[in-house]
Amino acid sequence: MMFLAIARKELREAVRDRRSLMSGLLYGLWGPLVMGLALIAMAGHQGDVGSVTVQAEGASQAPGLVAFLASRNVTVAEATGDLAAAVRDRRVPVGLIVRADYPGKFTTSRPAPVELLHDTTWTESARRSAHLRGVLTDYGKVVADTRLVLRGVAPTAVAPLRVLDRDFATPGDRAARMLATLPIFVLLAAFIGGLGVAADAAAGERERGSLESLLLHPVGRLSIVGGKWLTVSLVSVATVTLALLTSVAVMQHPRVKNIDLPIGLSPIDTGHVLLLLVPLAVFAAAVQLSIAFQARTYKEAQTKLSTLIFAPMLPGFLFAFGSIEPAHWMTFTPMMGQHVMLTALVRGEAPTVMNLGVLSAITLAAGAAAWLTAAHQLGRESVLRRANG
Amino acid sequence: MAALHRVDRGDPAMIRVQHIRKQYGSTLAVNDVSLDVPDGMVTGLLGPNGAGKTTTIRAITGLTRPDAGGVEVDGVNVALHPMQARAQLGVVPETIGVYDHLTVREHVEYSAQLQGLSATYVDGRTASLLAQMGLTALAARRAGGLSMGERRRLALARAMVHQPRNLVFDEPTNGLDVMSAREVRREIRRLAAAGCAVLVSSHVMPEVAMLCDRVIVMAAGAIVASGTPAELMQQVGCATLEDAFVRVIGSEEGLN
Repeated sequence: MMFLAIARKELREAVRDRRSLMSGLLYGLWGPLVMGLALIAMAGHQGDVGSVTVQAEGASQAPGLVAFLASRNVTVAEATGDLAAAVRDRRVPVGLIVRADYPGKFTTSRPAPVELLHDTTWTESARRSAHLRGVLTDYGKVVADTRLVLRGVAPTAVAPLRVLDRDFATPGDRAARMLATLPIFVLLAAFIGGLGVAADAAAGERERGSLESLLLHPVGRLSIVGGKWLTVSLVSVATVTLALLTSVAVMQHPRVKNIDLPIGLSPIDTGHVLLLLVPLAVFAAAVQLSIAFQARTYKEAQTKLSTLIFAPMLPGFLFAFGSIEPAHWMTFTPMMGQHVMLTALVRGEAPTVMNLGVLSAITLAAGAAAWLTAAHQLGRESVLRRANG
Repeated sequence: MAALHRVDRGDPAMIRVQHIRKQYGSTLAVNDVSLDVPDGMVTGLLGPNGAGKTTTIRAITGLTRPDAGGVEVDGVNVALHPMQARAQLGVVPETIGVYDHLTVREHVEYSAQLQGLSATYVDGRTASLLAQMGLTALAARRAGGLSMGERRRLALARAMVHQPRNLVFDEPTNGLDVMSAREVRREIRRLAAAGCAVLVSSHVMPEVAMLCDRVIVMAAGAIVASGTPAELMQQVGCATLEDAFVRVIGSEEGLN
């Protein structure tokens, strides 16, 4: 059981070094917190705007408009100072200017000019201006209908089409769009968790010159890589577990609970995600070691492994941009399979035991192949060459 | 350390290298090298940079697989049974890589565990080795803070943890101060006196003259001379081993 001695030593070093360990674990902690904040913000931003106060210039020239706005919960307040500058400087999200020629044109049935001041790059401004534009359009339609009736024309005659806009999206649905990124996020946790430890256990050993001493012991290469694999896997699984537990805690927050999310990360959901991700974390650890053993320095390994992080993101991007459609075979492909199943889980569809078992077995087998590759790397004489050698 | 007793096989050579050849691309690193490292004496391996010393040592330790020829350690074929052969060897490589966050004691214990020694034996063996190497006071210190001399002594302790009967030292006093170098040389002599087969690779001629009972000189991947230091000097008619070495290899290139 030499690999256990190696695993103990690697774990001891990782705990004492802290930098490699913490960089991974912090992702598991901060990631869900950031996601929780985004969920709250998204659900809130895209919900009903409720009562709105809008600053305006020249509102006294359009009492009918002001009254209509008030009936739609839009309170008009006379602006103090330069309203355009206030919107431009983001002190005021939206402004309304009733131009001086408004009364004259309105009473003579010509288009009466009003200016809507807003900033499309500012979420709050865009949201309020869209609401205000809708109310203004409604007012214009009410006035137009009245004018047509007064002229003996039925308003329906000039409205051949009536579009009824029914948006069924609840704040929860909108937040669920954000939650759809959960698969990418937790897949990343499996790959980021052990990155630093893998780089140190493989390339760090080469850089320090301690690899030759290690290989001089009567220990097989499979055991050496096995011990390191066990340690990196433990750290990766710990990161994934931490990320999930933090996610569960975030979901329990009162402001997040108010959002009607389709998935609440119940104990069963959490168990499913863990069952999906533990084999993936073990697979990631083996792949990271096989790559890190090709690097001569810790930094070189970090650079190489950083590019590997994009691998679990790839299926998500390909699906999101419609480059490929999920197919049955993808369910049994490491990384793709986990992404497909996690996406289904977010939609509230639990994976079958059969699919979960087959995918886990294939993922672990792929991890074992990477383990053999890493052990093969150790057998090459070039592995004894150091950065300066 | 108690005197070591060997099985009498009627053959005193405990490390035996036979006709090894190793080529890297177009470079012939070692060509038909044969040497014996017998019990109870220190055998020096000399040669300029690129002479093939490190390749020969790595072939002995099984880290390099020769293209031809073979190596035996205590009669064990290194290529066929590398684990068994390594269990009979204690090696102090030139580069002393330590784990900065492990203590001195943990280093020795780690080596003991990798040698497959029992947990009950490890404690006592670690304590006695640390005392022997003058490292007891540093036992709880992390290796990242050790001086070069302390690291070299730690490497020696790790190489000896399983009481090997064959020891290989690659540039054992490289980077050491005078006092540390003396301590290491004294330990090497003591090991040979205890019956171990000791192979030392070194560039330092006075050290080789002082330390080695036999000297093997390599140049351009081949053995060009061998014998006691006195025999070597006598063969080429030089007063010092350094002069003899230069004469034997045919140039002053590569001498440090």
